[in-house]
Amino acid sequence: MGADIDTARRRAVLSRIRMLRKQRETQLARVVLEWADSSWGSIEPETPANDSPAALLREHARVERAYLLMRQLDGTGYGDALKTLESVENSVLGKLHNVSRSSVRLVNLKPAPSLTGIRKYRVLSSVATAYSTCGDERAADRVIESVLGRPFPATPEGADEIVRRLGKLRSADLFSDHATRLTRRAYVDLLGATPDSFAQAADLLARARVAADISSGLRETKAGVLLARTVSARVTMESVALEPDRDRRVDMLTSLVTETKSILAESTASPYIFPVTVMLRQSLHGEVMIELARYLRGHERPDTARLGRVCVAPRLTVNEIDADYKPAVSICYADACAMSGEQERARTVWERTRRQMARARPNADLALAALDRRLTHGLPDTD
Amino acid sequence: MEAVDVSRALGTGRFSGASAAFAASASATTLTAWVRLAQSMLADLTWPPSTASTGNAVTYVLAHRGDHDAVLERLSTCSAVTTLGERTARPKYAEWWDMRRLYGFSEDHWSRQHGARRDVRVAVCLATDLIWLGYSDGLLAARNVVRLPLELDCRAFGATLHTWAIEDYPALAVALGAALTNLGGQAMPCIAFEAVLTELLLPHVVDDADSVAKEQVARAAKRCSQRIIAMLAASDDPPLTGPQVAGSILEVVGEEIPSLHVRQRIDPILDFERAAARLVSQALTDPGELPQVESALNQLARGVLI
Repeated sequence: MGADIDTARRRAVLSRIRMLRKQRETQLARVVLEWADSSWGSIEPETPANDSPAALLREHARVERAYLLMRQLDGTGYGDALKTLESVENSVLGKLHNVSRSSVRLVNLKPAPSLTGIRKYRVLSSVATAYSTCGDERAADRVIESVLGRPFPATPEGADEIVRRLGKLRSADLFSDHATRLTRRAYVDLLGATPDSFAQAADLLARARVAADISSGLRETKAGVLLARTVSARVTMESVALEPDRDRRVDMLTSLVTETKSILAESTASPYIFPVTVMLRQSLHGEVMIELARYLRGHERPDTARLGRVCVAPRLTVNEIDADYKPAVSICYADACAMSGEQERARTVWERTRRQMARARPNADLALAALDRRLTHGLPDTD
Repeated sequence: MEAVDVSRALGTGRFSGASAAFAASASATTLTAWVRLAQSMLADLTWPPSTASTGNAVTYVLAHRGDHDAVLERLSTCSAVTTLGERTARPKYAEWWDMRRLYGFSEDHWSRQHGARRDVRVAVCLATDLIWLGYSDGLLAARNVVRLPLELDCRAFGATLHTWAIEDYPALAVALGAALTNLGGQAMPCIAFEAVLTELLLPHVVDDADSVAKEQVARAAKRCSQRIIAMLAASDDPPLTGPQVAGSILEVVGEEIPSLHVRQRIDPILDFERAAARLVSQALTDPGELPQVESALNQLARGVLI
C-alpha cells in the first residue's frame, strides 16, 4: 500500500511537470523535476516490477525528461533526448540495447518488455509523438508500427481492427497524430520543390487525408470535432501546393480561410479550450492566409500576408522563449515578411531559422536547401 | 491495475465472485485490494458494514490529517482483521455512524430502507478516496515547490485528476461518479476532491483571515467537485479531459466567488497569450487597425522576451 501511495504521489508530481511543460513553462517544469529528483533520488522508481504502475510511471517520466532536454534553447539537448526516447522504446519493447551479438549468443540477455497491453501502447504512443517533435519522423513511424504489428493502415477498412483494440478515443488520437506527422513530412518534401519530392509529398498527403478522415469520424465531443477539423485543415493547406491550376488553388485557400476562421471563433468561445490551443489555431489561420497571399496579386498580396503574419507572430514569440522548435512557423512568418515588403526582417528570420535548423535538425537537407535558396534568390515565384 | 467494472455492479446491485474478491482483499496489501473490497461490498448488498469499512473511514481521516505513518499502520491492521469470518461479525455501529456523518448523512437518512445500498456507495467513495490520497498529496507537495496563478493551479488539478480518472483508475472513477450521483436524486459530497480543491484555491484569496472568503472557497470547491463527479458519471467511457476539468473549475469559481480577489501574480506567458489573442481578434475583425495591432503585438513580445 505504501508503495502504491508513493507511486500515486509521484504520478501527481509528474502530471504537474507535464502540465507545466505543455503550458510552455519549461523552466518551472525543470524546477519541479529537480525538486522531485532531490526528494526521491529520482522521480522514476528504481527497478519497478514489469507491467506495474511504477513501471508505467518510470517510462512516462523518462519521456518527460526527453521533452525537457529537447527544449534547451541552444539546441544541444536533441541528441540526449533521442537517446532517452530510444532507451524507453527498447525497454518497453524488450529490445536489446548496447549489447553485442556475441554476448546474446552466450547468455540469453533479451530483457522482458517493461510494459504490456494498453500500457505499452500508451507509452509507445507518447514516444512516437516525442520522436516526431524531436524531428525524427522515421523513428516515430517505427514505434507506431511496432505497436500495431504492421504498417499504418492506408485505407479506412484497415482502421476497424485498431478501433476494436484501442477504443474510439485512443484510436482517434492515434490517427490524428499520424495525420499530423505525415503532413509535417509532406511539408518538408514540398519545400524541396523537385519532381521526386512532390511525388513523395502527394503520397504522404493522400495517406494523411485518410488518417484525418478516420480520426474525424471517431470524434464525438465538440472539442474533439474541432481538433479533427484543425488536423484536416492542415492537410488541405499542404495539399494546395499539389493542385496544378492557380485559380483552383486560390479557391481552395479562400474556402480554407473561412474554415480556419470558424475553427478559431468556436475555439475561442469554448471554456474547455485553453488560450495556448487558441493561439495555435490562430497561427494555423495565419499560415493559411500567408499561403493564400502567395497566389494573390496587387495590393491584396501584402495586405493578406501582413494579416497572416500578425496571426502567426504570437506563436513565434512563445516559441522563441520556451516551446518546442517549429521551423515551419518561422519560415512561414519570414515568407510573409518578404511578401509584405519587409525584406530585411524576412532575411533575419530566414538566417536565424537556418542557424537553428543546422544545429537542431542537421539531417533536414531539403529544408536547409530551401532556406539557402531563399537567402540567395529571395522568395520562390509562385507563377 | 486491471480495470474493474464497478459501475455495472452499482447499477444492477449484483456482482459475481464476491467472496473470492473479498478473500483477496483480506490478504493483499496493495491498492488493488481496496478496489476489490469495494467490488465485494458492491456485490453483496445485504452484507452489513464491517470493521474493514470502518477502518477505511478512520484511515481516511488520519490521512487527511497528514499522518501517513498512522495511515499505513491502520491499513495493515485492516488487512489483517478483514477476514471472511468477520463478515458475520456485528458491525461497530458507532464508528460506522462517524463514517456516514463524514459523508454528510443524517440519522434519518440511514434508518431508511435503502441503507444497505447506501453503505455500498459509501464504501466505494472511501475506496476511491483512499486511492486519490497519494495523488492529492503529490499535487499539493508539488504546488508548494512552485507557486502558480489560480488558472495554472486549476490546470494542474485537471491534469492530475485526468491521470487518476482516465489513465490509472478509470473504473473507479466511473464507480465514484455513479455512487455520488444516483442516490435518489441526492448527491453525496466527495470530500477528498473538495479538500484538495479548497487547499488549492485558498492561497489565491488575498486575506487568509477573511472567513467570508473562506466560506466562498469551500462552497466553490464543493460545487466544483460535484460537477467533476457528474462528468465522471456521464458514461462508461468518461469523456473527461484535463482541460475540461480545469475549464469547469474556473467556470464554477468565477460564478461562485465573483468577488474572489485573486493574487495579482500574473504569469507573463499566460498574460501574453490572452493579450495577443485579443489583439489578433481585433485585427481579424477590422483589418484597418492592423498597423496599431502590429505595433502593440511587438511591444508585448518585447515585454515577454526580455
